Amino acid sequence: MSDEAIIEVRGLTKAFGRRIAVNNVNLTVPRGTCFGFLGPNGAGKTTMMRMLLGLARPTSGVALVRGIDVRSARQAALARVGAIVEEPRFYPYLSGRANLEIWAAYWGGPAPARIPGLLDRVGLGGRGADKVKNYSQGMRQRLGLARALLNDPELLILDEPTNGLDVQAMQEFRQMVREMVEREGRTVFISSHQLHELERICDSVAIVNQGTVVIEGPMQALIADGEQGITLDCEDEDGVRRAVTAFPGVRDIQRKADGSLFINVPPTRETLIALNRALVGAGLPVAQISRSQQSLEERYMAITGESGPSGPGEVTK
Amino acid sequence: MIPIILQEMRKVAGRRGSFWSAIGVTLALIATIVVASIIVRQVQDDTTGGKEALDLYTGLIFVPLVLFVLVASLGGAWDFANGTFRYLVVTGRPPWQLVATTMAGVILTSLTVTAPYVLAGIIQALVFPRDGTEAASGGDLAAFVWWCFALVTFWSFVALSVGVTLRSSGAGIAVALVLFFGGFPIAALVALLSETVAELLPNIAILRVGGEGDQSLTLALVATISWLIAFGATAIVRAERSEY
Repeated sequence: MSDEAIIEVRGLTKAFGRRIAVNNVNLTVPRGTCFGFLGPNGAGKTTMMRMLLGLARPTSGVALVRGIDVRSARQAALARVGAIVEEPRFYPYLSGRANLEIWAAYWGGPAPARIPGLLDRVGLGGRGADKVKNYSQGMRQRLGLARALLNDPELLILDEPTNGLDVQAMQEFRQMVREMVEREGRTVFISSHQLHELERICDSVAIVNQGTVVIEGPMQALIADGEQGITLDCEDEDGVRRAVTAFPGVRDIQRKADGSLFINVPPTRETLIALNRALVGAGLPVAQISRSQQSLEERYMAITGESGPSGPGEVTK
Repeated sequence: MIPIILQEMRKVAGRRGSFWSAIGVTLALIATIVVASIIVRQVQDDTTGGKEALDLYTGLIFVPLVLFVLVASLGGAWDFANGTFRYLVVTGRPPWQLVATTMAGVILTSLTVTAPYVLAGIIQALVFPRDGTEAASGGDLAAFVWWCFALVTFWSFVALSVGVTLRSSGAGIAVALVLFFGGFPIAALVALLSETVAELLPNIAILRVGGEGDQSLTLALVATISWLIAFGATAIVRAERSEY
C-alpha cells in the first residue's frame, strides 16, 4: 500500500448467491482528500462501504483501511474511522447527547469529552437534551455526523450523508467537509445522490456501475475529459442545424432539457466567434451563446448510461 | 468495560414501557404481599413470617419474572431489529463482545429490579418471625437470595439469547415467553416418556438448582449450565456470522 493511500482495495468482490454486487473492484483513495463514490441505485456503493467497515465479508479480494486488512484486524483498521452507512440509526427514546454518550463509552479514551464540542459543531448544541425521536431527518443526519467524529477519525466513510438536509444545512455540510479535509487533514470517502454537491466538495471521484468501477480519477480531469462544446439559446433548432452543418469540427447538436442547444465542437474562442458569425449571418435569433463543458451529472449520465440520481435533465438529439 | 455496561443498562432503562412495567409489577407485588400479610395477621391473629414468607416470595417471583423475560428478549433483539448494532460494530469491537456487554447490562438491570423484592422477602421473614423449625435461618435466607437471583439471571440470559438469535423484538419476546410458559407442559409430556430427561429441560433444571425436589443438584447444575452455554453460543455464533 502506498503511504499516501488511506483506502486501498484490490480485486474486491461480493456475491449474494448468484448476484454479484461488487465485481473485482480496485480502488485507491488518497489520504487527505474528499473522494466521491458515485453510481446508480444497486450499483454496489453501499456494499462496498460495508466491506470497508467490516460489516460485510468480501467473497474475494482485499480491503486495506489505514494500511490494515479490515478482515483480519477490524478493530485496528477502524480505530480512527467514522461512518454513516445507509442512514444514521439511534436509540430514539434517548436524547441526542445520551446517544453519543453510549457510542463514546464504546470508543473510550477522549471520546466522551468531545461530545459537547461535536454537538455544537453539527448545530445541535441547543438540542442535545431532546429525544432523538423528536429530531427531523436532517437533525438525525447531523447527529450521525457527530457520532462519526467521536473517535477523531482520520477517515470518514459517509453513505448518502446529505439525505434530508435542507439548503442551508447542505451548504454548512459542504463547508464542514472541506474544513475537515483542508484544515484537519481528514479523508472523506462519500457517496451521494446530490451530484452537484459532490462536484463542489470532492477532489477525486470513482463512478461505479453494476458492481464495477467504470472510471476513477481527479474530479477536474474527469470533467475535462467529458464533452465540451458551445451552448446557445435559440428556438430554431432546424435553422441552427442548417447553419452549422458544414462548420468544421461540429460532431452533433443536442437539445437539452432546459431548452438550450448544445453544439458538440471544440469550444475555443475562435470557434465561438466564428460560430456566432455564422448564426447571425443565417438570420437566426440567438439570445445567448457561451462555451460549456459537461457537469459531473452529465458526465455521470454519459458513463453509466442512466439518468443521474438526482434527476438531471434529459438530453435529446 | 464498566462504562459500557452502565450505558447498556441505560439503554434498557430508556425503554420505559417494558422497564417501568417490570418495576411496577415488582413493587405492586411486594405491596400486595405486605398488605395481605397485615390483613391475615389482624383477621386470623397469625403472621406470614419465617420460612413461610420466604416460600411465598419464592413462589410469586414468577409474576415479575414474566416482565424480566420481556425486558431481556427486547434487549437482545433491539439493536439488531433497529439497525443500531451496525454502528456498534463500526467501533471495531467484535460482535461477541457487543452481545456479551448487552447481556451483562440486561442481566444487571433485571437483578437490580429484583433486589427490592428479595429484600422485602428477607425483611418479612425476619419481621414476622416464626418459632422453632419454622423460623428462617441464615441458610434459608441465603438459599432464598440464591434462588431469586439465579432464576432471574437464567431466564434473562435465555430470553436475551433468543432475542439476539431471532433479531426481531416481537419474535424474540414470543419465543422467550413460549419457552418460559410452555416449558412446564412440555416437561410434563417428556416426563411421561422419561422422568430423567424431563429433569434436564431448562425450566425444570433451574428449579432443581433452586432446591426444588429431591433430584441431584450436580445434575441440575450441569444441565442448567449446558443450557446457558447452548443458548449463549447460538446467540454469539449468530451475531459473529451475520453481516450488518
